[in-house]
Amino acid sequence: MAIIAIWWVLTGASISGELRVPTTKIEKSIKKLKIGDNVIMKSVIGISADMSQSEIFELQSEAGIIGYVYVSRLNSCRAEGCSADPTAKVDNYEYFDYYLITDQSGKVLNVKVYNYQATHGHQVMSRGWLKQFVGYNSSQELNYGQDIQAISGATISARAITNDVVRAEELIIGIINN
Amino acid sequence: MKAISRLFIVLTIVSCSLLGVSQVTSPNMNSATKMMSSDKNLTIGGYGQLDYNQPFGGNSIQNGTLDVHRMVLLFGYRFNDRLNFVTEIELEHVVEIYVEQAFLNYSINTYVQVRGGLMLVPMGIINEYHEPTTFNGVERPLIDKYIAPTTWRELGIGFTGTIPEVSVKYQAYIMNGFSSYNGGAQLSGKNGMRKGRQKGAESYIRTPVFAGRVEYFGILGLNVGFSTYLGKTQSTLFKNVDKVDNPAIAMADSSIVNMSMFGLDVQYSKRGLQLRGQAYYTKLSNTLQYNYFTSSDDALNDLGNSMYGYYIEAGYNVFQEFTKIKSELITFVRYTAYDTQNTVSDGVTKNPDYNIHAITTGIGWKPISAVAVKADFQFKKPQAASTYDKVFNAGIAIWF
Repeated sequence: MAIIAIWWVLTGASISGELRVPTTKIEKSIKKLKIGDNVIMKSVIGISADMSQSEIFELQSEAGIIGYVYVSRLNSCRAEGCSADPTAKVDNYEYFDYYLITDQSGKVLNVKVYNYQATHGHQVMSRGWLKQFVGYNSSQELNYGQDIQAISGATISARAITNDVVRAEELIIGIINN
Repeated sequence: MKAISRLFIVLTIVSCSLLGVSQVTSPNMNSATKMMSSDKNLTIGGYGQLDYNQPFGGNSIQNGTLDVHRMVLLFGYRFNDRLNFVTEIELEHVVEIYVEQAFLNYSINTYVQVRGGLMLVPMGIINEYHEPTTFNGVERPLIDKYIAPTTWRELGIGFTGTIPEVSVKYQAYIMNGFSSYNGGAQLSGKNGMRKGRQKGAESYIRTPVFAGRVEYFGILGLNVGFSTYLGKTQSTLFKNVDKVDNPAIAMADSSIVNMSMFGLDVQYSKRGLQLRGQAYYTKLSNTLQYNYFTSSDDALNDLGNSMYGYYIEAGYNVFQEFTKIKSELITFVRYTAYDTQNTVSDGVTKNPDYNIHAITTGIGWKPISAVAVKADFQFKKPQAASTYDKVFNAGIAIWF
């Protein structure tokens, strides 16, 4: 019990109501992807969309912009225990946080769920399932249940992340074209 | 007028609760709905299962049954980012009221959550995912009634969490066990452990049990789970027994059994195809003493020494390849076998009627994932028998 108490104190800052960007984890992922050395993450501001639960970063190296990172908090639920309104405020729901990394053209290289606070639907953390998004770019269709395999028992989380990857892609393409 | 408007507000609250409308954003909300929707931390949900069962075939006339089998209302309340409370209130067969779950969940991080209260025993697929839109067939699989007595819940405390790096979810709880004796035998060959569930209702405990489950979900479409349950049953005979009263202690010891149960489940889906397999094995000891102690009219009780059950199931969504059709039409077939007297203690004769084989096949139409209209045929017989008992089932399942 004492160990738990200490852990709780140490990890106390890691869960808060605000979306927290997991810089170290993202850096690790970038290293694994081998897309560049000495990469700097620079927050993109002035996006004309609701960014209260998400954030976009440019990845810069000496060669210039080499990619983008999108970090977002999504609604989940106790399985399907509440209405799946994606426009609803997140604080009404259980939630989870994820990030995705793209190359400079916006093509998805990696998707990772890094904070899962919902009591059900943990299967969206599956690496095998998340791999389906790798290679996706905005010219493709991305329909849950067709292009992305459905997960029974995690419908809301899985659908939410599928729709949000499409949104992330649209926003990143918007930045690229600007 | 005042009374009528008050009645209207009350009715609105009730109907909103029933419909799960916790997210009303219409500008024409009245004060009651505003109050409901402004409480951002409350979640209301539920599920229901309405069944029609019609035996057919054979030489006798048989009535069908129409049953509001389960109506369950779920309430979840989030006190803050770490602390959740979840409860499910169940109405079974219209007249019986149960609390199906009532636990407090304290989230330390993704890896560790502490959970305490009335919890589902993490055994197999169905006990935790028992909402009727999640399984094929009108009724739950037979082994999830006779071998794993779903909905199986007891009071307890423990840990759960997910390790995303290795795609593993775990649960480990210390819980209350079955009751094997409460003035009479609770366990038998016919009913297995089912009548021994205490369900958190003035339950009694002397020695807690351990219940754990590990799930691996790292491969696309695959979910593999291993469950275990270890411990002794509980008995009212230990109440107020003097610590040096050895005969009384020996008598009470004869009214309990030791139980070890294991479950293995595999689920795989690829596009429209859904495969499921579930196996349970239960080992019981001290059954010789228990069967003697709980004998009635000189007839030994017949609780087995071991029980097993398994099913394999294949389902296919016929509408999968029709991208314009958003609903699902799932056909399935399931083969089930179980025996509540796989092995028996000395003096007990195995009853061949407890060794059951069954085939269930049917369809389910899901206009959306939260609603299913189902129909199936079930053919069931003891292994030794030559004819099947046949039942047609139809039902409506909802989950919101």
